[in-house]
Amino acid sequence: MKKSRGLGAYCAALYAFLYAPLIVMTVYSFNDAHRNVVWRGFTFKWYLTMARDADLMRALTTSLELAACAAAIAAALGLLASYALVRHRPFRGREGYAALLDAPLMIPEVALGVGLLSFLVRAGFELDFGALACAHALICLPYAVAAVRARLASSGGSQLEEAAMDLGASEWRAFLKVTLPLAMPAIVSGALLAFTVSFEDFVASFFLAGVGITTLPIKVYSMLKFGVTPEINALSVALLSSTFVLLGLNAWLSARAGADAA
Amino acid sequence: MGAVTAETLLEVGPLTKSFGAATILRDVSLDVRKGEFMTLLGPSGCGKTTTLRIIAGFETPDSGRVILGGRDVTDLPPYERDVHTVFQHYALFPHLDVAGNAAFGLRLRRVPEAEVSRRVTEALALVKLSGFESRRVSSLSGGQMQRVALARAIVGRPSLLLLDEPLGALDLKLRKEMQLELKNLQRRLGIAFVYVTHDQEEAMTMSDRIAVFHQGRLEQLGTPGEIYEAPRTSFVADFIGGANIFSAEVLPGPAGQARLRLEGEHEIVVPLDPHEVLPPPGGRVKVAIRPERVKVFYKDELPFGALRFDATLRDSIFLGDGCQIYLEFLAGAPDKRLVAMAGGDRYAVHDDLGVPVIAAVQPEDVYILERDGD
Repeated sequence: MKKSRGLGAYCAALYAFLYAPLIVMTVYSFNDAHRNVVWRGFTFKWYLTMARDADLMRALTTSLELAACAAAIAAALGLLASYALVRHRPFRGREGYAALLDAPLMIPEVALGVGLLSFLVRAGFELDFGALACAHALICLPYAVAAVRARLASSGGSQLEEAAMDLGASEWRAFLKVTLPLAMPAIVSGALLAFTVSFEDFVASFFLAGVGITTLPIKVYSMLKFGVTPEINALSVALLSSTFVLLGLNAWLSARAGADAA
Repeated sequence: MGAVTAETLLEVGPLTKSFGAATILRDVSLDVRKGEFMTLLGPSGCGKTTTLRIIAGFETPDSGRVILGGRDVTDLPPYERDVHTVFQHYALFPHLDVAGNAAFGLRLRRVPEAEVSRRVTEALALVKLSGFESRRVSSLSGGQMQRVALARAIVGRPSLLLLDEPLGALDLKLRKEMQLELKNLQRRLGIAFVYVTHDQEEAMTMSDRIAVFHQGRLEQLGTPGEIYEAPRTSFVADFIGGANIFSAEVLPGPAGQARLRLEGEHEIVVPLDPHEVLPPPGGRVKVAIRPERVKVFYKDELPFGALRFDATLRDSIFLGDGCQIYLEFLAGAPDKRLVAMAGGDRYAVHDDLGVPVIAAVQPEDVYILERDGD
């Protein structure tokens, strides 16, 4: 095939468009200067400053805990919902129920935030960590359902469950011994996705975070009021790196799940 | 339900099953003896797989019982029945290796690990998969997967093994090999098999008895010889071996014999088996004649065979080991052909199409089938 220079240039431009901002941010996180404009030499000190910033670390801990709770809730509910949607004998309105589970993906988060806020306040709930975790779980649930549902639908599971029951397993043990291990990569992958979604959530958290709860995105936003510091760059690079690790893990899990599906 | 002897392992019936408005089974009753190879044979949608699933416990019949080893298991779930199934699409567990699949049932029953490993080794050797223990099932060929499914089902030593078109996904050559192997395995293990297939040749090759299904009914239950030599219905005659089927009017005749008039023309007299009951004179029955039992003679030859029909040679197809010959012998129904099979290539020449011939049949080769309703 003839090589096209124009196409190569276009691709280079596209990737530059996507990644140049991230690269600039990464480079300046190592800049030995308080302002971003001039390069003054290489340093790790912003990473140390970041790590020593107690408020920032508290926000990070809050976000990690929040994401872990939301991911766990979403994965558990997602598994149950997917199982019902895929494995249950067809029931009236099954497609409708499935669509309703996916819908939160499309609903503007501002609307969701306002709705959650007015509901929680009206119902008399404290705007505490628990409330925020539930709200995050709600936002994450469609991701978990999508991952697990696709897996359950594709793995020929009902026949495998029948085979297990034929060999002496009760319904519950067939689920534990066959369906659950087969769905596990998808459950973990859905949970990782849910974790990421919760971790980076800003809008709903901004609406719902009561006094004393500061998630990392909210903290970073408030720090930005004083300009983009190298410390924020350093933090962003740290987050970026962990995201790539999670993405890699997810890809590995999906590949493994694909190899299993015979 | 037939005579129940000490040798009876499984009795089912009379089973009825509907899914919504569709009736899948109508009054199906059958019995399986210990160590017997029983085949449920029929075209797709005839109810054979539903019968198998009722025996396995995956479906509950609307009426009728399943008695296994003298115990009523109709309402027991699959995991409380001493029955294992080899599924059509294998249904191997992809997250377990070959040995893990074979050991699944034993581990559920908490058999000690030492015995699990001994019995898995033994079962894999029986299906010729020794050395495959730690292979992933996704790396196996179709034939190998089928063997794993078989090992997984026999390792628990059930009294009855159910097989749902287990060879359906294999190519023809492999299927022939597996047929013989399965039959040998069944003999060696002494386990009763209930085997579902739509392939009549496969059923003939392997079975001790065959249950022929059609539209949710059990048409006939018998040994391969009985089914072939004495079909009771036109469906059985046609589905197994193929047959010329005609409508005939019953004429008054002597006891023990049937005087019939074929499609308003030829009159024939054939012997009547003791179990056969004819409708009164004036009624109609269907009769069948196997193509290979029809002899064709040219006019200048001396025909043998007691029933002779003047016929016209209309077509002949050379099949290598013989010829399939199409004859016209009913002046009133020129489209109704009589098909004959003849060895050799004697009728392969097409010069003599349209010439008059004589078709001859022995009276005992005319099978009397069900009453003809119209």
